Amino acid sequence: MLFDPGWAAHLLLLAAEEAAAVEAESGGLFDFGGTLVLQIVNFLLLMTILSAVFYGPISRVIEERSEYIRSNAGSAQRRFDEAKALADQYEQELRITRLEAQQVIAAAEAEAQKIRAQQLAEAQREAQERIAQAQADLDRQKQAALASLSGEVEAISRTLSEKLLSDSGRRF
Amino acid sequence: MELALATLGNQPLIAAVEVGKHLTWQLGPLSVHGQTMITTWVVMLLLIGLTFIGTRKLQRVPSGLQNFLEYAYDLLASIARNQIGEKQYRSWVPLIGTIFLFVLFANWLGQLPLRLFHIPEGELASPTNDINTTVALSLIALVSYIYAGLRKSGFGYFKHYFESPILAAVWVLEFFTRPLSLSIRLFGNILAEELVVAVLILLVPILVPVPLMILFLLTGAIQALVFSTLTASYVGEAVEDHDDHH
Repeated sequence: MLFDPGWAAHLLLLAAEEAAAVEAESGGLFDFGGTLVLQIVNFLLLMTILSAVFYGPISRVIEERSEYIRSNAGSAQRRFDEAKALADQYEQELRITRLEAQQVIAAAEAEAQKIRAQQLAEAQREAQERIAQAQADLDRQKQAALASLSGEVEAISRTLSEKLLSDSGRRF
Repeated sequence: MELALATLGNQPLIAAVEVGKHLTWQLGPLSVHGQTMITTWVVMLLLIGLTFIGTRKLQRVPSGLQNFLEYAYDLLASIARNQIGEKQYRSWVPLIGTIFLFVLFANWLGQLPLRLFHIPEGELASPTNDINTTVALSLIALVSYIYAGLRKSGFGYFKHYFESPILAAVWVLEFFTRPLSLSIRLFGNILAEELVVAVLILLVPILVPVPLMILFLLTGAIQALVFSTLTASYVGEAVEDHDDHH
């Protein structure tokens, strides 16, 4: 029964009749009047009050916050740059120091090499000297020994010959 | 206008949908629709109260209601910014934002069971259900974007009316259709929503109207977005730099 098309038509017809009836009095859907004026006033009032308690304060606090964040980010960036510069400087110094250390090591090595060579030469020279001296001593002692030996040979030979001579003389 | 189920058979009147009946107040020379005024003031009080409480102790690190209000402000500002442009949207945020908030709250208020509060004549409903409200809003929008255009380029704003006679007719037509479409769109949508819900409640009082009412929360928000976005785009068109395009 609800979906009987006649019902819908009836309802529409009724609505139209009623609308016409109401339009005839005051009111109706399109009753323009004081409400329009008062709604404009209401809206402007609402806009003014909301500007004072909402848009103004909120936009201000958002603005302040973004300002704060901007300045903080700026100073952070600055500090980061400083730290980076310091790190670079440190790196540079480290490089220089390492280079210097290598130079020092190289110099020390060269020095040590020199000293070693020098001492080696010294030692060799000394050894050479000692060898030469020992050779000379040996030669001298040899000469002395030879000399003394030749003296002794003479004496011994003389003794021997005397002995021989005396012995032969006795036998004969 | 009164739609009554009394026509179904010869049953007695069980429920009725009323539109176009007003609680008339006589304020001096003005005769005012009382039910629209009451709900408008409720909307205003809600908005002012909410924002007033939320902006008492504003902090750099927001919390609670302030967070929510900042989010709302961001949304409203983005509507204005998208249509008007980064350079000059700031001064238009209050207008665009208030249109959005007012229409949104007005539409949503209508989804509450206002019928429970009895008034002598008519019934409480969305303020946007009254064409006076929507026409008021669209007139404010009209005046605003004409003001924006005049401030931007003086009477040069009306220059395009005189460029060619055929286009002039179009421009004049547009001058009237813009506020007309703004106001009738909102009025028609909200009135239709209320009628649909009322008729459904009349036929099936429980459960069936609920999905529709949820849908109408969505369409109410969309109507608010459409009204404010269109106003913003009209303002944006009025204040844009024409040199950029020629």
